[in-house]
Amino acid sequence: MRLLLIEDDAQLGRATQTGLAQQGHAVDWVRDGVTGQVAVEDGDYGAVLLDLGLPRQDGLEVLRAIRRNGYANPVLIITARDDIQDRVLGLDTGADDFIVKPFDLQELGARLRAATRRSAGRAQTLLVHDGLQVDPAARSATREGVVIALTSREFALLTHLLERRGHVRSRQQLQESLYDWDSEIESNAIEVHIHNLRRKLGRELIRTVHGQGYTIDPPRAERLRSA
Amino acid sequence: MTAAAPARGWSLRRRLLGLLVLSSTILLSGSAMLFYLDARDASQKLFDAALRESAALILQLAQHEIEEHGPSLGVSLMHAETRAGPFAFRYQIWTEDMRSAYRSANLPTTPLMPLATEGFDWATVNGQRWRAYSTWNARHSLQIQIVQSLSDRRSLANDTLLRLVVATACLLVLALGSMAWILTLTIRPLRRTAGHVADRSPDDLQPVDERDAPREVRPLLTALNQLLGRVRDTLAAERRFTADASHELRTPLAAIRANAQVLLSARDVAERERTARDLLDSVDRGTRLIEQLLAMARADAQAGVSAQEIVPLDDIARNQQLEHAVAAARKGIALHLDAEPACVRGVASLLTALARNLVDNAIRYTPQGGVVRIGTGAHDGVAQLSVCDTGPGIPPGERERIFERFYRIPGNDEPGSGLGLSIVRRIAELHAADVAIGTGEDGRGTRITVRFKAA
Repeated sequence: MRLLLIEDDAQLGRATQTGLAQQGHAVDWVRDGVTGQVAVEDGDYGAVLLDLGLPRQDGLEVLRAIRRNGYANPVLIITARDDIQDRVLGLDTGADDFIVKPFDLQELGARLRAATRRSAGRAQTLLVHDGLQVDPAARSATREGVVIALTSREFALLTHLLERRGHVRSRQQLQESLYDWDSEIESNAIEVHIHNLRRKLGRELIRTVHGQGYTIDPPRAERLRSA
Repeated sequence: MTAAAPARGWSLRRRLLGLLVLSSTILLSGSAMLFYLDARDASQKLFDAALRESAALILQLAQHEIEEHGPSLGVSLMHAETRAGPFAFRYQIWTEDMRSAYRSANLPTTPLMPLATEGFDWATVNGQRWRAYSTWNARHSLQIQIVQSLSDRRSLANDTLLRLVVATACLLVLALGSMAWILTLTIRPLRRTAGHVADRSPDDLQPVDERDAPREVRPLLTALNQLLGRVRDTLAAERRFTADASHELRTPLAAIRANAQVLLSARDVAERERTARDLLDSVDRGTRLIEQLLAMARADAQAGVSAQEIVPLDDIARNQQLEHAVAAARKGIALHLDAEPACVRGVASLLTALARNLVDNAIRYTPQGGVVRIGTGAHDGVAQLSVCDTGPGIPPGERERIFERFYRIPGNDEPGSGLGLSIVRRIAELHAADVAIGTGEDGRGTRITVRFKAA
């Protein structure tokens, strides 16, 4: 998932960025509120991690602004302020979760997954599709009980498409969800990953929509039910 | 202010009551005593007058009897003795030639007093004291010696005394009761106020209500409320400081933890090295913050600079130049010293902390290749220490706020604790020095000057 981290502290920001990257996320990191707000409006972030005590613009102000501008994905507040009023205020302003420093990176990852799941309207932790089971927490995929080895980019791409079944995602969108600003991207990177996923999971899973991008169609049973 | 307190110490109410009871007892007893003495004196005079009259009457009677029936008087005078009570009396009647003309029963056969005397006297008959009176008739042929029992005479006065004692005691009891009641009523507002204070929860530091209290107690309550106010302010500052401190400590701790976690699952050597360096930096920052907090606490604990010694500011400045030489060299900053002798009275360790924070800040915020100048000097009774840099400077609007604890200028990227200048100001306050922020040389950077009274 592509994430935006807004944190002014150098050492903590870099560590959080690296830690989440180790968990397979693409993380952009900015160090003040104004830049953060601009980044949210320009990018396509699956979630935002927001510190409250920020230079130039306070975290709560950033939160208010991005919610007002229609950013609907999860926002997690990471802060050193730990009294109840701050939490209540943060959640009521539009945050999805509230994490107090110092925090555990694994827990942060789990809370991110939970917030994403809730925002996608899913109660299940596993993504299930036609005998394919994807576990975002364990970062594992199995088909009919057989483990399928995926690279971290392939896994991120598969999860991204599974979470948006029935929606067509452009090559640009897919690329943005996979790579942070610092990554060097080959021009055909997405095609290579799609090719590899098809090789490992079968040709029919990911459908190419000519001139638009790629999609995973909902299973036949679900399509009938919704029709 | 606990419930047990009134049991110990002295009680205003009890002392007042005791003094009132004592004084009213003395007054009432005194007046009763005066009344008694006066009454006794009056009754003595009354008795004496009655005695004299009786003597004259009996003597007249006796003379008459003798003229009619001869010198033997016999029973005819008996009726005069029949009176009982305090007015009972007995007598002897003697002729001029010492013969007994008449004698009441139980009286000796000899004269009670020498016949030569006349008037009032005291006599002892059968071991009892009697009031005696003797007088001659007009012709000097008969003398009457009449006596009245002292105990009889006293019995009247004693009755009066008894009544007086009873009445006084009753009055005293009444007075005591009403005084106790009045005192209780008077002291009730005090007790109520004490109760209000005692019933408070320990963190209720609101002022005590003074409206209800008597004028005499107001100064006490006012002083108490002022004290409460000071305690409230101190506590609020302490709470704010503790909250701020814990808030500030969380970030380096979070960085330490996150970096350690990232280090454990580092994907390559470069990531491991970078994370380890960040981890060390975070630890350094945490350490520095804790040192600053301790310096702050130490400066706060110093209620006033008491252990005063003469401290040469120029020595402190020289030490600071040495202490920061490496840090300055690492950033390519020229650290100059301009040390003229300047001595102040104060605590050397605190003054060193003050100088250290100023120099540390200057080096921290001055970019590569800049200049930091430490200067000391004294003139016109003012000793001063100044630190001047070529950093970004402090906008005039921020010059007051930067002394607040944990305050950092917005947009400032340098990891600082936000405590340095608070420490400087606190130490300056303790030394009755003032801190001025100005612009550095050539209108660039910052100059911070601390002015002391020269020693």
